[in-house]
Amino acid sequence: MVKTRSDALFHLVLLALAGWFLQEAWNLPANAAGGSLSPAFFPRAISSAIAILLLISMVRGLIAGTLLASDASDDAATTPGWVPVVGWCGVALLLVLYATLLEPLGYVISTALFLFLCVAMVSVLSRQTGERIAIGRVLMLALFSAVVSVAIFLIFSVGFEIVLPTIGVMGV
Amino acid sequence: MGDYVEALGLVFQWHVLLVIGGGTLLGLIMGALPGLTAAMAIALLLPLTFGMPPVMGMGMLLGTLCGAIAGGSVSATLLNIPGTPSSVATTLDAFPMARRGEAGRALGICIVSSFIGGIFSAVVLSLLAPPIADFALRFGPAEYFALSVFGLVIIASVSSKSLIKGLVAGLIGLLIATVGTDPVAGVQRYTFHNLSLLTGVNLLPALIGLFAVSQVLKDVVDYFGPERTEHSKNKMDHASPRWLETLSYWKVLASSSVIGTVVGAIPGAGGSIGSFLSYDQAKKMSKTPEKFGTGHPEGIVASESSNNALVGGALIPMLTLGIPGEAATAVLMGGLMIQGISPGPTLFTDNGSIIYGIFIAFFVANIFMLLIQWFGIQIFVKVLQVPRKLLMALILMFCVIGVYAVDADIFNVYLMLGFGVLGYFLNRYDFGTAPVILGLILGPIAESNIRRALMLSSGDWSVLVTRPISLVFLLVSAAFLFFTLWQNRRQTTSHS
Repeated sequence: MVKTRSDALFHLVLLALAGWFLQEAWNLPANAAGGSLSPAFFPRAISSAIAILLLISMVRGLIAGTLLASDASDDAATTPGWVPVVGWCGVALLLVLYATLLEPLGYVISTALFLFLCVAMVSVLSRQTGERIAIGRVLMLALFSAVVSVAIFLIFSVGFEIVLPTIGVMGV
Repeated sequence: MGDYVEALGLVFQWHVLLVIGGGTLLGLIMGALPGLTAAMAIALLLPLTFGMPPVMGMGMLLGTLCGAIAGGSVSATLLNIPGTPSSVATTLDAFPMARRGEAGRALGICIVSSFIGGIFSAVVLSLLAPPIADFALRFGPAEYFALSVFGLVIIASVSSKSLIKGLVAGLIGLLIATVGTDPVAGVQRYTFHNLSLLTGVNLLPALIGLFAVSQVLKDVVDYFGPERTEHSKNKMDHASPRWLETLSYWKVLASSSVIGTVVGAIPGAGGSIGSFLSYDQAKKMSKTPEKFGTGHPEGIVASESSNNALVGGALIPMLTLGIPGEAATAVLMGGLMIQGISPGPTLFTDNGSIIYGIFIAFFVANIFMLLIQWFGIQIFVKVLQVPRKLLMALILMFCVIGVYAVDADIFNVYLMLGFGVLGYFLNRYDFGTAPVILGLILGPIAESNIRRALMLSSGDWSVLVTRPISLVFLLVSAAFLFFTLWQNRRQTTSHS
C-alpha cells in the first residue's frame, strides 16, 4: 500500500515504466510454434501484472487516506533537510562523472579525482556552521586519494592481472 | 567417494586456502562495519572470482559470508549496533556485558559460538544436500517452472514489508530478465540494437548496483542524519575464545545450532528470525531467564551459534534446488552462475567434485573464521574507527572498478549505477531488492521451462497441475501467498 506522497510518486514512475515496457512488447512477434508461448507473452504478462499490482497498491493507499500523506520529518535532525538531498545527488553525479572520465583520463587520475571530490563534498556538507576548512586536511585528502588510486591500480593490474584503463603515460 | 577425494585436492592447495582466508578476513571486516551487509560484501568481491576456478571463487565468497555474519557481532558488542541483521539478538546481551567492561569476554563467547554453529550446519549441509538433490533429479520442465514460482512467492513475501510491493519487486526482476535474446525463438527483446544487451542484462552490475551502490547511497543520506555512528567507548579487554565457558552451555549451543540450520533451510526465513527464535528458546530452557538482556552469556551463545548455523542451512535449498533463501545467498548464487555453474540437482551429478569442494571450502572457511577472530580481533575492531565518508567513497570506487574490470565495458558501469538508483528507491519505499535479483535469476529458468513444458504437452496448461511435484509447489506457493495476505491484514487491523 502507498504510504506517503513520495511513495505515490515512485509508484507513478514504476507505472510509467511498466506501461512503456508493455507498449514495446506489442512490437514483439506474437506467434508461437508447437503450442508453446510466443516471445511476447512473458514481457506482456509481467508488465501488465506490475501495472495491476501498482494500481491496487495506489487504490489501497487512497482508501486508507495515505496516498497524499506528507513524508515524516525528522525533528531530531541537526542539518537542514536539503543537505542529504544535495549530498545524494552530488554523489550520484560524481559517479556518473567518474564513469564518463574513466576511459578518457585512465583509472589512476579519474579515481584520484573521484575519491577527492566525493570525500570533500561530504565533508563540506557535514561541517558545522562556522567550522573552517583547514588547508592541511585538504592536502592530506589529496595525498590519500592519489596514494590509494595508485596502490589499487598496482594491486589490480599486477596482483590480479586485471586490465584497467590507462592513458598510456608511464603505464598509468 | 572419488568426488570427495578429488574435492580435497581442489581445496587443499596453498593459494586456494589463502584466498578463502582472505575472503573470510574481508567478510569479518565488512560485517563488523554497521550498514555493510553480507550481501554487499559478497557482491563487492564477486569480480575478483572471475579468473578463479569455481571452488576457489566460491570458497572465497563462502568465507566472506561466514566472516560477515560472525563480524556482525563486533559492532553489536562494542557499539550496540548489529553489523548485520542476524546480529540483532546478539546486542541484547553482548552490549550490556561490554558495558560492564567485559567486551573481550563477550567477543570470546561470540567467536566459539559462531564457530560451533557454522561447523554444525556444514555437517548438516554435507549430509542432507546430496539426497535432496537426488530427489530433485526427477524434476522436469513443469516442476522447474513451479519451483521458480515457489521461490519468487516466498522471497517476495518475506523480504518486503508489503506482499504487493514484494511481488512488484520480483516481477521487476522477471521483466528485466526478458531483456536480450529470447531463449526459445531467438527474437531480440528490449535490446535497442545495443550489443551489450544481446545476451541479456549482465548479472554482476545488477548485483553490485542493487546491493552495494544502493546501500552506499542510503548511507550518504544517513550520514547527515542525527544518528551518525559514534566510536565505541567500550574498552576491549583480552579477547580470546572462551571455549570452556561457551561449551558449558552445550544445551543452548545444540538447540540454537539446530534452530539456525532449520530456519536457514526454509527459504525466506532470514537471519534475524533464526537468532531471535534461538534466543527465545534458550530463555525458556534457562534456569536463570531473568538474567537474559543483562549481559548473560547464554543469550550470546544462542544468538551467535544460531546465526552462523543459518549459513549452512541456507545453502541447502540454494545448492540443491537453485532457490536462495535470502539476499546473501541470492548474491552467492549469482556468483555461482557467473562462474558458469547453475545451482540445482544436476550440479551434484555433473560437477560432483566442485560441489563437494564447496562443502569442504565451507568447513575451511569456518575454521579460518575462528582463527582470524582468535588472533586478529584486537586489530580489526580498529576498522570501526575508519571515517565513514572515506569508506563510502572507497566502496563506490571498488564497485565501479569491479564491474568495469570484468569485460572492460563501460556500459555495464552505467547499468550498475542505474540499478543502484533503482535499488535505493526500492529499499526506501519498502519494495526490497532481494526479490529483484531472484526474479532476474529465476526469470530465464521459469520462461524457458514453461515454454518447453507447453511444447511437450502441445499447449495443454494442465501439465502444471497433473504432475504431483509441480502441483505441490504451486499449492504451497498459493498457501504461502494467502497466509502472508492474511498476516498483513491482521497486522493492519491490529495497528488501526
